[in-house]
Amino acid sequence: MEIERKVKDIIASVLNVNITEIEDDTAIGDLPEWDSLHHIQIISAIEKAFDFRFTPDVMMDLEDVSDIVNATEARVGK
Amino acid sequence: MTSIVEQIFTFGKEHKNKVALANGKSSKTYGELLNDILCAKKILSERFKIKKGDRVILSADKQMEFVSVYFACHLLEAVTLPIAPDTNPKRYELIKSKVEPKLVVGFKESEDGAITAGLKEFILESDFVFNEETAFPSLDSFADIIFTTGTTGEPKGVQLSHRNIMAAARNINTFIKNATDEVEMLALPISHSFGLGRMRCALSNGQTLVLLGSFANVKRFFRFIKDYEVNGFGMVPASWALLKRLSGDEISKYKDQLNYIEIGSAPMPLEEKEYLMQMLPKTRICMHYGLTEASRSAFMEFHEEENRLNTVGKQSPNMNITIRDESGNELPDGNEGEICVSGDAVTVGYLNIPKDDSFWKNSFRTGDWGVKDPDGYITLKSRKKELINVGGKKVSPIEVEEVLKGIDFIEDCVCIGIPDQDGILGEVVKAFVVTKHPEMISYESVEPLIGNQLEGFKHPVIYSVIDEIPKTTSGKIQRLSLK
Repeated sequence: MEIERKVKDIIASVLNVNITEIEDDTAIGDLPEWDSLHHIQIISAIEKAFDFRFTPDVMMDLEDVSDIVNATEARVGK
Repeated sequence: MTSIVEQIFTFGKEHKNKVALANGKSSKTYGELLNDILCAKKILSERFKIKKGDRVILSADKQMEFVSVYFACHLLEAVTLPIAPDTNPKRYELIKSKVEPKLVVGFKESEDGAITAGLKEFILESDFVFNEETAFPSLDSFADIIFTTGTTGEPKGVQLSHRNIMAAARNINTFIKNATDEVEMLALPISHSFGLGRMRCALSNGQTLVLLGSFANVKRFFRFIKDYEVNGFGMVPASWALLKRLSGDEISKYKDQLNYIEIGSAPMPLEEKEYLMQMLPKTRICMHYGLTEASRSAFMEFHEEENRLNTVGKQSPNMNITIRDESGNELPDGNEGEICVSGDAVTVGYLNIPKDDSFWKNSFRTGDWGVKDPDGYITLKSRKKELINVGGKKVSPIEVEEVLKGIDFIEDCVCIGIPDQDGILGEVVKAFVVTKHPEMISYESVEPLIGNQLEGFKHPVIYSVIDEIPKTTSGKIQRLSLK
């Protein structure tokens, strides 16, 4: 839960939206703010916060918020 | 030729069951789209009393309802102002004060009492079918006002008539050669002229248009290409850089399926053009040079013109490009001057700005400098210098500087575009700051103070402290000296 909350915090903060708008099934690009620039910033901020790098095959498999949370949890452990 | 909305109706009445729009969750046939447009027209006119010439601000979210309300306004000869849903409050208020809209759709209610409505309010859930005879707009009436980033930081309203947008779509489809039975995906923002233009091109051509939120959702991008058997899409160079970073050469798996790609809005490095050509050897990869004011003035196709990839191509079908000196005289080939464009896709003029300021007779002055060779190929020499191009979106440094100067520990500042170190966005914003508190100047400390005063792409990503702002003896800021 800790990781999930932190990842959602990062997403909400980069997109400059309220965290209540960041739900598990919010897809990348669903919110108008979630464009390419912000996506790169989200990826970089998560990598920095948890000190790891997403591999390309993982990045290609991200579709919504829960995917990002799961991918982060898989790398840093729950 | 008739207006875009009339073309859609003419096609739609004959092909009611063909899918017009899809988004992964649902789809809409041309018959349903026409019905939705007529329904939105009825609500606009009866509930909101919208009539010819009224201005309607639309939150340009990539939803099916947007498409219906947009074309419903056109049927009424009302003028639409599609703007990004995340437009910053200052810009939004400025646009509103300039256009005095009769109705605002898709934005939250504002304090000044403007009449607002949600996009969903225009669509009826019932199966009611409209059978009324529809009148279509005159080609000379105004269709849209698109706000662009002016060099002074104030947005400028580009007025486009129905003739302008019809001509642009005709010219683009003529060059790209997209066919009616081809499926197009739209992942570009629909609030910008490129994305909005692609929507008009595909629907006026009777194609199926698949709406995708953003290129950032690369998983969905490839799933839609596969599931909907997509044949073409538009992208900015930053989209390609992002796709490449997130998916490597995945796109090459669809080299036999992707028939066309349109690229525009920002320069693309030569090696990226060549790499894309290798990935997609059979695809028509068409890159345009253009402005909101003169949509797709020039075009080139990478494979057919592979020896001219360092140019922006030749004038588009039905467009006329001349190179002129500072007095407006046309220059012979080989001479450098201002790129000027005429043709029926060129804007009828800016909102509340005299036409003489931006035209030589009927030739629009782009403000870009270039040279035309005897074969008609145009090479760009310099762009409107001070605008920063972040992934195809233009940023006025002045707008960013004004926000930064509002922060109490920033005395003065100047912003420029620098190459994006991630190699994705082309340029990003860098701020040079004069301050008595250099310890306060960092991305982490300034970023929260900018907040929603500026859209995300306008936020500086790098800060540097300097002693004073470089200026000429006459006091003009020398931004380029900081590059």
